[in-house]
Amino acid sequence: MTLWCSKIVIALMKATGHAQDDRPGVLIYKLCPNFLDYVKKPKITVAVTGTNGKTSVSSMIADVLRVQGHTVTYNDWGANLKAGHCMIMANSVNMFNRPKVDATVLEVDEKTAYEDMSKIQPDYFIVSNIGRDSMRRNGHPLYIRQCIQDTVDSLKESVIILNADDPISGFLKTNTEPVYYAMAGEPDVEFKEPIIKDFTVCPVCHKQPEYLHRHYLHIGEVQCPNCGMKSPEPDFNGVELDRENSVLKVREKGSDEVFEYNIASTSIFNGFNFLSLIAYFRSRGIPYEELKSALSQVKLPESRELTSTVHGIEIHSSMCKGQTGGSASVVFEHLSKEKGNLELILMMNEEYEGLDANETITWFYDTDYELLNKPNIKRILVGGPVYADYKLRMKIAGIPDEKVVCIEDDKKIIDYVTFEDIDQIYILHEVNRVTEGRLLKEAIEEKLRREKNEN
Amino acid sequence: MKIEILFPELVVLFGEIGNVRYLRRCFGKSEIVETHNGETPAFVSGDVDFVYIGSMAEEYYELAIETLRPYLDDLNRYIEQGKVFLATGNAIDLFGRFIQWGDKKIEGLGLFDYHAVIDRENRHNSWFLGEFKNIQIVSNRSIYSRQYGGEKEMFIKKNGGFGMNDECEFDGVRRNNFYATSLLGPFLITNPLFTEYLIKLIDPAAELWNKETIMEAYNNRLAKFTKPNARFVMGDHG
Repeated sequence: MTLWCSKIVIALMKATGHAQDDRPGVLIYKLCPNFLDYVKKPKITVAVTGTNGKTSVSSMIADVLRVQGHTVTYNDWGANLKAGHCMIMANSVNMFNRPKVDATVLEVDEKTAYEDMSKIQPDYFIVSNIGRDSMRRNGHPLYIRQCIQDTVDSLKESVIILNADDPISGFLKTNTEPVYYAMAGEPDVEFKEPIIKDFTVCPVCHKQPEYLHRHYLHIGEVQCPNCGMKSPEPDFNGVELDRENSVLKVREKGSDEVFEYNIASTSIFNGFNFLSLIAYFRSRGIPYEELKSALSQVKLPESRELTSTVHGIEIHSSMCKGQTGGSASVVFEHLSKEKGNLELILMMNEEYEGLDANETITWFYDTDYELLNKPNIKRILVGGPVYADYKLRMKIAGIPDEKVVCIEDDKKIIDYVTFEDIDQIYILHEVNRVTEGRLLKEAIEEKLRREKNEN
Repeated sequence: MKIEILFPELVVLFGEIGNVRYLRRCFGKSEIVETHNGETPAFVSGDVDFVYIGSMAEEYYELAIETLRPYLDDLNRYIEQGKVFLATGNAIDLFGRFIQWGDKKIEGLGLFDYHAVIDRENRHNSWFLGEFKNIQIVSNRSIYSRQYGGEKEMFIKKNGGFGMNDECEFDGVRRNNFYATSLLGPFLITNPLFTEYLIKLIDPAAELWNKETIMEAYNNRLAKFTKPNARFVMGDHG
């Protein structure tokens, strides 16, 4: 009965242009709290969770499955909680609770994963990583680790895919033999110690572990000189991230052969995202040539970054999770390595959302603003109610005052955007501010065209 | 000027490292000493001016407590001498009588007459407005534990928001210049007048670094939370 009701509501929502709305999902679990126990699964069911990368990985898995010719359902509108899961599972079956698609891909919130995953029991469960996130919602990484451990404990036959280079999630205990992936150290990449340190205590003996190599934040291969604890050996090892040719080279355990995949982005964090995807498909027995071909057709989700070039200046609108120092620091590190002169606009404030949330500034001091203290980063513009806190943080980072504009009214930021001697403009916006980021980007493009045409 | 950070490998949460970074700038020349779990704290030697301990995962409480327990006499002596000690966030839990975590009871250091209760199903997120020695304190907390007791040695009188628990009219405990508060984050940055009070206890010549900017940020925050309709709950208040 619940299924039939939901089908009618979903059809009505679709007819009124609200296909990507999880209200039918809310209706489902209110009518039948155990819906996920009863609904049938398609023959392929894969779930992806973790602090960072779950949207990218789940989106790309869905894309590859489609390229392979499968019919797929996927909660691609960001509904990674119960309502989204109920709706996507309802969409995956017909009126008679028989699967009508080949595959379901589930993006899963890491904090609440247990409740739904213990019922859905996906065939594969991928944990991308665990790190610092929203202080208010997620507390600290060890709490989230416990949430995911509880989830993994409930998965009786699922294959668990783990990032061996994440010493927080890489040591999760599993009921089945896990599949590990990792990335080899990159010899020419200089690692800067971040402010936040999420892995500082050996989980076995509580002494200080050491890194054999490190990719970003706490992600890297570890060992403990005191008790001998070390990162698991990977089944899929990314031996090289060839940035010049956009190729990821992977060696599989027990084989000397190196498999090469063309990938859409060679940033280190996307390298890990692609690696987890390769680990998943290869574990399922998908032939290398078939996967290679499918992967070459996969793009990153569009909302992550929009780029255009106007009068020779590249203008980017990029997602940058605020309220957590880890994600922002990774983005800042990426920007600190960019060539040419940069102008940055930070739109990572919470209060942009109009929530009257009385934003905390704790994450300012978890974030490596010091990385923005570079000669080629010419200007940093930021607005909003905590503008003075930004000003102080930039001062502590040693960024010269003349490079920084901090104003209370963020709507006036556009007035301060200048183009002289600038090669790239980056708008870094909060996850929920894709539209505002795009609109500011368009306003900058218009201003640039106007100024250049006037000259 | 010697600043000791207790257990930097455990207390690396919520931007609290900003406290030490700002403090160093106020003193100009300063030395930072880091004491890891299992090591002898530097305050035992008696030449430390400021000890700081911040928030940590609850899983690490016992490590921190058992490292400090053998040095309780030294810690008491440090406090009796009027030297400065600051504990922020859930580090306050260590100094009470005990910590109740479900069925588990962890014996605290017993310096103060309160206890803590951990509830990991309900994270408490809130803002706080209060007063200490005519200094207005504005800060926030985000914590799985609440504290009960400690009235006789209260630190900050509550004027708005929530105290150490939902019925409590204050936050934190204080004895001489030992201050423990469940408020967290870059507390010394968000409360420059309190910071000024602290640094002058150590060195009367010390000044706030970039006073104009830090006061501008403080005054903006204060203006927001002294409004009649100020909202002190944030996110999922537990």
